[in-house]
Amino acid sequence: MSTSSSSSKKIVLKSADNETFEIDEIVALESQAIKNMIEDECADNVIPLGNIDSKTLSKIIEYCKKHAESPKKDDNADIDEKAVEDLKSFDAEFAKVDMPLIQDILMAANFLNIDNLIGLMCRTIADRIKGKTPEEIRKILNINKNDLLSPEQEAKAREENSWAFD
Amino acid sequence: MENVIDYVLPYIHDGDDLKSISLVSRTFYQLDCITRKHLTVHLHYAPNPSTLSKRFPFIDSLTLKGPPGSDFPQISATPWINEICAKFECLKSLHIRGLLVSDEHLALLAKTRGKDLRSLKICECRGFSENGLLHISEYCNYLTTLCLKFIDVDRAMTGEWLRELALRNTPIESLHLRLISGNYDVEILTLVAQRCSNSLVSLKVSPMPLNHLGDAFSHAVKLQDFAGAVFDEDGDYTSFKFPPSIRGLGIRDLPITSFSLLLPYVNQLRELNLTSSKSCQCFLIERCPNLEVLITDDVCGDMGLRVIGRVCKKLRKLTHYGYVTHMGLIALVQGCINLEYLDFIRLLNISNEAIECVGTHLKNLRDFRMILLNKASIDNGIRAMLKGCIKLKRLSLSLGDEEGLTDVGLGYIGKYGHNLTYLYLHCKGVSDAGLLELSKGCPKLRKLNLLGCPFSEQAVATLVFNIHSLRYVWGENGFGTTDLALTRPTFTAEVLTELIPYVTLAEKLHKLAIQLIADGSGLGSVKITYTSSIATDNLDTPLVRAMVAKGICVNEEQVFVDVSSDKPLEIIKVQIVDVESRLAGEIKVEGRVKDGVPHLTKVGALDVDVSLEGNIILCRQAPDQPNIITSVSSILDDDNVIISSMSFGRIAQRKQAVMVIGVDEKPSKKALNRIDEIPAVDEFVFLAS
Repeated sequence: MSTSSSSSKKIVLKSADNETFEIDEIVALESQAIKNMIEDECADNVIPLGNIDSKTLSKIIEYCKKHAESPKKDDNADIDEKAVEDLKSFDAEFAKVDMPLIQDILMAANFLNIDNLIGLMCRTIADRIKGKTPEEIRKILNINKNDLLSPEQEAKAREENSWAFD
Repeated sequence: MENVIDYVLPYIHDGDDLKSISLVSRTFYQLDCITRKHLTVHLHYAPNPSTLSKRFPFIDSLTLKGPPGSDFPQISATPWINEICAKFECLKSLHIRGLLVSDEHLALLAKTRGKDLRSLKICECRGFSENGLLHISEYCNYLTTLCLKFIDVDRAMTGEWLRELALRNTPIESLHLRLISGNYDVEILTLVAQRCSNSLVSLKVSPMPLNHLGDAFSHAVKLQDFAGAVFDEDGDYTSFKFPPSIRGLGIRDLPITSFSLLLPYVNQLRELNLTSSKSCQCFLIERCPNLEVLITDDVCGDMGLRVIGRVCKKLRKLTHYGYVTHMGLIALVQGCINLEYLDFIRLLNISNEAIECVGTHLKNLRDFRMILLNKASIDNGIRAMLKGCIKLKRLSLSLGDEEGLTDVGLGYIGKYGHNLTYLYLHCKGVSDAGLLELSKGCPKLRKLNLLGCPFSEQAVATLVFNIHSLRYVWGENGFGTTDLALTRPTFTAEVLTELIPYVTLAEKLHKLAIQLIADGSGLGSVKITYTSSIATDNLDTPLVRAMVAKGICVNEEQVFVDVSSDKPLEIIKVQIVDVESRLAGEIKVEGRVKDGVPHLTKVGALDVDVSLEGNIILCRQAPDQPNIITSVSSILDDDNVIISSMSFGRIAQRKQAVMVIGVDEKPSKKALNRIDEIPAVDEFVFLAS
């Protein structure tokens, strides 16, 4: 799978499962981490991303591509509202994926240092656990059973939550 | 792998969501402990300050709240102030409400946390004087917010503390001083305005003559909100000016003839508080299109409301002290659809349609208070309003002696008040049946304030049972002061100590009764009868009983029988009907607390006297088998178990005799087996302590 266009400089990313993605440099620059590598001239032909699988990486590239193409606020003080709306609806659609993938994207975005994407994923997770009970949150985030509070700890915390502390 | 929640947590702001998160797992719990920034502590339910500092050591904003409804706070801030001063090194903002606060507390707080505190609010507290405030002035030099509200300091106050504050603390942005007594003069206020001219944005003070405030206003160039002026007819206003950025004003007794003073500012005004002027304020309100908050005693009634509805499209909060009717209310809510807070002091002849109209238009209404002076029923209006205003959290309905709200209306409040957390009722036309209907709903209700409602203690106690979120119930007693009745087991230490034996008694009796159920007859229905005592007008009593019964989680039925004595409870009787008893006859046990120790006093018809602190053995004698007493006691003797009491007799007419033995130590398993094997023992029940 590859993503490319016209004449600009290319960057190749390699996922943990050894799939390569050729992308425009401008798209890669959405990642502050890659930007730093390029600036420090540490980026060879191929940048290996040993902790990001191809499924996650292709989603991230999809996101970076869209955001790289969209007009930036600093470029143009009065970007038209349509572009902003367009990006907003892209983000909303983008976030409509299952929870494991969202968590993977969040961790990868954190590694690659893509601020907007970190924010989008965090807001998505926050929205999904809003108004939910602890049991529901455990299910949504697939919490390890070994990490649960003991019944006594939970009862004590619950008691404090209900009555003493707001 | 790092934790996803580390990143997500900063995006979660709702307190209830944070509470849920804290219970998800150990990791989440710990993360919540170290990241929670703001907490409100309800002191009645948090007897131990160290619990707070252990769980949330890095709090930077803390609110300490005493119980509501009392003008005379009873809870001392001592342990909390000590804890704050010893721990909580990150604390920047402290808000204390409804507590006893002394000069020593303020001194300690100022000396240890003064340099870090940015915001200090003390509201509805008592117990300190100007000396305490002087410590605040001396040590809290970086405050940006200081608020003293409904504070009774002392009449001898000179205002020296405020002069000190002005001299030492210049970054103040917000200074709110609403003192019940205690004074300071205009000259000191001018000094505050001068010293804090670069920062002061909001100033709310006890009323002083407007014409004397000219100097203060000329210094306070950044001032946006001011409240606390009285218009003095004889004053000279020729060169008077408000600060240039003023957007909120509170002035008392401003006559129509002087509205011109405000005219240069009407377009920038967001908040206006004009009271005691007893005049038509339409002229002024009509010229303030940007008002968001309005407190008025406009005398034009419905006409005034029409003006507000037509002009003030941005209005969020309205408090109206004038007489208005349903015509005005409809015109208002059709115009001001952004209202979140609505407080009417005098509503005449309000129709169901008018209240329904509130539900149709005010989708953001969170707080609705009204005093109604009409006889017609508003039940249906209340239903429609609650169905429409889904965000409503606080509802105050005061009908005084009128009967406009009935049990049907209370039922609607229960059914549709999904988000209500605070309910105030003052009405005559209701009964227990309505309160019981209400208690089937209102799942988020935390505070219930009752005034002059003809509810029985039992009904209120049942409500407490049914609405688990209820934190406080209070009502007016016969002396014009409010009586707080808490709803949860964490009473003050003394009350709790007094109650523990009753809780134990209820639990033990229940446990014993359950053990008496013969195999295979099911659980049956448990009936608990409390015989009590304390005068019926004390709201506390049923709640105390409710709490005792709360120790038992079965589908129980309660019957309260009142006789007179000074103990919280006389007798607790547990009865299980429709099941077979292992001891034959019906299952009925009774107990009482003697000298602080729970005792079993009756099993069926047999009077016994056994301490429930020890272990109990019950045996039913088999027909025609003598020597049960000697056989059992010799086995216990072999086991070195000392018998503390023994009763023998029939629990019901024409039934076999039963023996009830109290023993201090727990007999060995072997001994218990031996008793069970005695031929004379037909049935055998052991209740461990």
